Amino acid sequence: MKTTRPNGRWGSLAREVRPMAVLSSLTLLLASSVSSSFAETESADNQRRDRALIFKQTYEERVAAWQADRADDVFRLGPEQMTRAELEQRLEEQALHANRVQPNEADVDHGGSSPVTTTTWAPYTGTFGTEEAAHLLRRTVVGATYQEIEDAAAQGLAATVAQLLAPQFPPAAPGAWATEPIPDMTGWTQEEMDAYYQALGEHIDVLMGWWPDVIVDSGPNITESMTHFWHDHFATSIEKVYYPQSMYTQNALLRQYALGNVKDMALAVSLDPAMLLWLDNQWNWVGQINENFARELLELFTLGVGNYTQEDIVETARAFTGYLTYDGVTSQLEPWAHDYGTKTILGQTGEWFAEDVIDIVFAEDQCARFLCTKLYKWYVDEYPDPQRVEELATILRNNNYEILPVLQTIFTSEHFFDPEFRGSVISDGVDHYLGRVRAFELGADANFATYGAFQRDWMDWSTWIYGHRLFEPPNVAGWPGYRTWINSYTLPWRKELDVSLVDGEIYGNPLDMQLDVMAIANQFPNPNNPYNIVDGFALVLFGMPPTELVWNRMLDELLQGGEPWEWDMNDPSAEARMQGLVRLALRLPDAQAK
Amino acid sequence: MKRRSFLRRTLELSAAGLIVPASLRRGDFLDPARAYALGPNDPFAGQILVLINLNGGNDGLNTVVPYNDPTYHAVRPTLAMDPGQVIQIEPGLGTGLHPQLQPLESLYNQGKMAIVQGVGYPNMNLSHFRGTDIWFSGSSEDQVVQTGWLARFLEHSFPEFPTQLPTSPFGLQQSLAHRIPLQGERGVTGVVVDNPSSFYYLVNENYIGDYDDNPPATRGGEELSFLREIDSASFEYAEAIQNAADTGTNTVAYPQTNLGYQLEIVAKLISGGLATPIYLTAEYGFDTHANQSTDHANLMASLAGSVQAFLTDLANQGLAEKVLILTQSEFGRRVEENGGLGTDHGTAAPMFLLGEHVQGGVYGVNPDLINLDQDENLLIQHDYRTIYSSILRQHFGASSTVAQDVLFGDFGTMSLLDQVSAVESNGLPVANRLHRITPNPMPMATGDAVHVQFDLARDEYVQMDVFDVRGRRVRELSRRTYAAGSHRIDWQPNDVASGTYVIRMSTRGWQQSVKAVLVP
Repeated sequence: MKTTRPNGRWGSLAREVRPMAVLSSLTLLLASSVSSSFAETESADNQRRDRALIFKQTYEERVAAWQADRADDVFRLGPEQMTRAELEQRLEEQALHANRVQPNEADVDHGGSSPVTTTTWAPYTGTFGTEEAAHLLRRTVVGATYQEIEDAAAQGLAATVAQLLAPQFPPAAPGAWATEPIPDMTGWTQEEMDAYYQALGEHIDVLMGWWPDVIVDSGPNITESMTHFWHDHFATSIEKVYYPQSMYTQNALLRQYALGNVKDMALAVSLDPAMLLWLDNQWNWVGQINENFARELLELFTLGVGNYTQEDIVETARAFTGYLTYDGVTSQLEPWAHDYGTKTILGQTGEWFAEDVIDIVFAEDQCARFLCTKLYKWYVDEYPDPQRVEELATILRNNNYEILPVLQTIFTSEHFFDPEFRGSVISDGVDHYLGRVRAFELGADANFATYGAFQRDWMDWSTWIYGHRLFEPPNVAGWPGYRTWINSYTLPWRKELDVSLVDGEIYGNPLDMQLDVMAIANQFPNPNNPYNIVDGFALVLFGMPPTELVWNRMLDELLQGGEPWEWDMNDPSAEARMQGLVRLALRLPDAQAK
Repeated sequence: MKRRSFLRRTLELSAAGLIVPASLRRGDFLDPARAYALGPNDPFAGQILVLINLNGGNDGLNTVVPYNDPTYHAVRPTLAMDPGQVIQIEPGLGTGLHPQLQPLESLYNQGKMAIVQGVGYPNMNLSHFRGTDIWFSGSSEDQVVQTGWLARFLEHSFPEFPTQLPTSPFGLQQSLAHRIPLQGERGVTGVVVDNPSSFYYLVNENYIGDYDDNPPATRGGEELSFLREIDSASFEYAEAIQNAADTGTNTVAYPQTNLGYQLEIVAKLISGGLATPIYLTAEYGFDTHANQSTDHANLMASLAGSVQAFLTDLANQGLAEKVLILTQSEFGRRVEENGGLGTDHGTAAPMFLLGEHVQGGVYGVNPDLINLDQDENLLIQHDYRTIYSSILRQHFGASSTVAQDVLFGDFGTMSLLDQVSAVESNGLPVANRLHRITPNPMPMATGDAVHVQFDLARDEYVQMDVFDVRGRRVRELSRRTYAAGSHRIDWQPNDVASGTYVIRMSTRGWQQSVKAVLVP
């Protein structure tokens, strides 16, 4: 098929504005807009003009479509649009689907067969007590509370896993702006542009706190953890994407597919506006390909290094030519920019489009292997056994890339509950600045989306110090994770900022959220037994029970020289002593693993 | 205040405000002798590198000024500096320094400052963040590397890391603005300390210790062991740093600027015997898109004043010998000024090396302002990794294999330092070099000749001349071919007045200058 460039503005734009020049302007725009230390003056006008050029096409059509969407109360989930009723229907189907692939409770409880026969993922048949429930919830819920752990232990493994894996209704968007297209700025005055960019800056602030708010307000469910996993996997940063509506749209998409079909998600993410901007597919046009997205698709998103050739990258890039976004919230295939020629990717030849690439890549056995390795590291341990990964990959492939059967297999397995792995995952930054808030039942007090109260500054500090800022991964490879979370800088700061939640303030700045030790301790069985106080807080804060020495140190801290039988919850000093115990626990290395 | 500035805000200000200066509860310090060394096998041989990052993209053309170039004046109608304004350090080359760099003039004249012209890398990235990442990671534009080149060198030199940790941190960074520099493959190789007292307070306040038992023999137990190690190492670092800060002194006043404050602390820690080999400091605000003239002058004054104070401070205490300062910036700025009395992002720019063992002089030529790259930016003369490689080899004594491993390739070296005698196994010099003149200044009354020593890596035609400060050639010293090896030419300055002279040596594609100061 012959490729033609249309006449009109795009054609002349392509001649007038070199893609790389636009790209570097975009980068400069980001740099100048996000930092107070970088003056915004340079050619800010030029950059805006470039941007206006890019987005001015079909402006009225887009506005009309957008207004129509709003009128119909349309929910935008990633690339798809639907009404609330349709969305509810979809979630119901997903729930049915989830139930379909879950093993019968009888199977789990009585050691029957799991959905796919494996040799290394035998179902767990042991006791599901408080310790096991705590392990499961620490790994799957950001900051599981004591009450949630107790509830899980009471309802049993099957019911808990069903609850963890149940699809969730998506949270409310951070604002009407979150789905608004980027406007055409042709003819705008300087004042109008200034106002727009100022509002945009405020929306970025809201977005950066919105997801944290969603996490601390969420229920005992794996959705936030899995959305985080996918954000780390398809790592996209607002630092370059810049438009908060694009980042929100991508988050909604990751959330939609978090427990769904990985292959469908890979395609949706490939065409997601934020991804198009992030990895430069926006500039990947026939005759002047940009390999950035193609490379990362193969290297970081699906196959891993060494499982493709440079030729595959070039050909994949050709297949992805012409997928662009004009408005930052939707994308489309621009006929003039697409290379309709024949491509050979991973040995398969044809006139491939984006959909075909995803089909070809997911036909490789390596793809499921690559994804399951990451999933294993996220939920089980840093050092997966190849045979175990292979069997998870088989489950993923056999289920046509539905993720739920894999998660179901992991969380109901003997292997997952092996005491070997208690506390073997180093907690990430989110586990601290959000996990502690949630575990201390302070979600209702937290409002990170708005400035004003000091708690938002507290959150910003934490994200910076820990190097873990949602919507802003360090690069397309995501957060390096594991032991890199911990060093001589982050470790003392994690303790300091964790402890500030016990104090309810830091350096005289009130946080408007403070751990109520009495309320939590009163959930423990017989809190008048000091041993239960130590065990209860250790259960919430540590990845595994403390050694005897540490346990005794904790008890000493609680009793302050008193005898165990003297401990009394009604004693006026009880609260202060428990606060001391929690401070001590948060300062122990044990509190950095889950 | 614009809240969105938080999106990319560095922590140094907030962290500084965060810490309440508190009377420190000093515990029992470790054996000081232990805290004073990285160990018996200190791979850095006591050498120290202080890196000054000029955040935002420093304007190279108004830092090292080609004041005689008519194009410079034509494209910078308001920002260009006249010959009368600049410090004409190399009149023969038409190379001057920004007037606010005046404190560096005497260092330059003493041969303690090297200026490497036109440093960059192919296809320079003009994003602040990506550009900075590239410099700190020591990688190419098309590589994404999340570890720092110095951190990789540290790990290379200390194979036990992080199973064993030294009692002093490998690297000490003075703000959290950059995450890459100290990030190694195996872990973070240093600490971020804006203020030793507040760091000590932070660590000490939160340190429990008291875990002398063994964790269980499980994967979880392994991670707990790791966490305990980092925990106790942090405590040791904080004590070592605090101890050094308490013991160390400053002998001069520093400029009241970001950089002055940071270098004052670094000098104090070195004075106090901290064995840390790498210090990372930064000055902010070089992104001079608008009204550059005043801002840039203030930044130049801060840079020169802080560096001069720092080196004087160290020299007063007899500590200057082992210290090297390197300045870098993510990119230079455009050749022509913009409509806002400023300059936009550009490419190549000069780097400074300062220290007792620097081979002073200007390396490379004034930038070519006519032949530019496709985006009308300066072409590069030196790859920045050549400077890094030279520092690894000549300052830290690394082998060429190690330098290549650390920098992902062979970028060669320039003879920027005379600390480590760079001699290949065949006994020949590895690179051409014009040695500094000693003694300098030189008393003419003795009647001695000036000994001009130089090395050649291969047989080459050598042109050697003496210029006065106005750029006039006063003596031709050589016009002939020498064999590879070390040589000496004597210059009898009996027909010239006392003053400053420049001796310039050129071979094909290479040149280096040294200063000779003649006093009566």
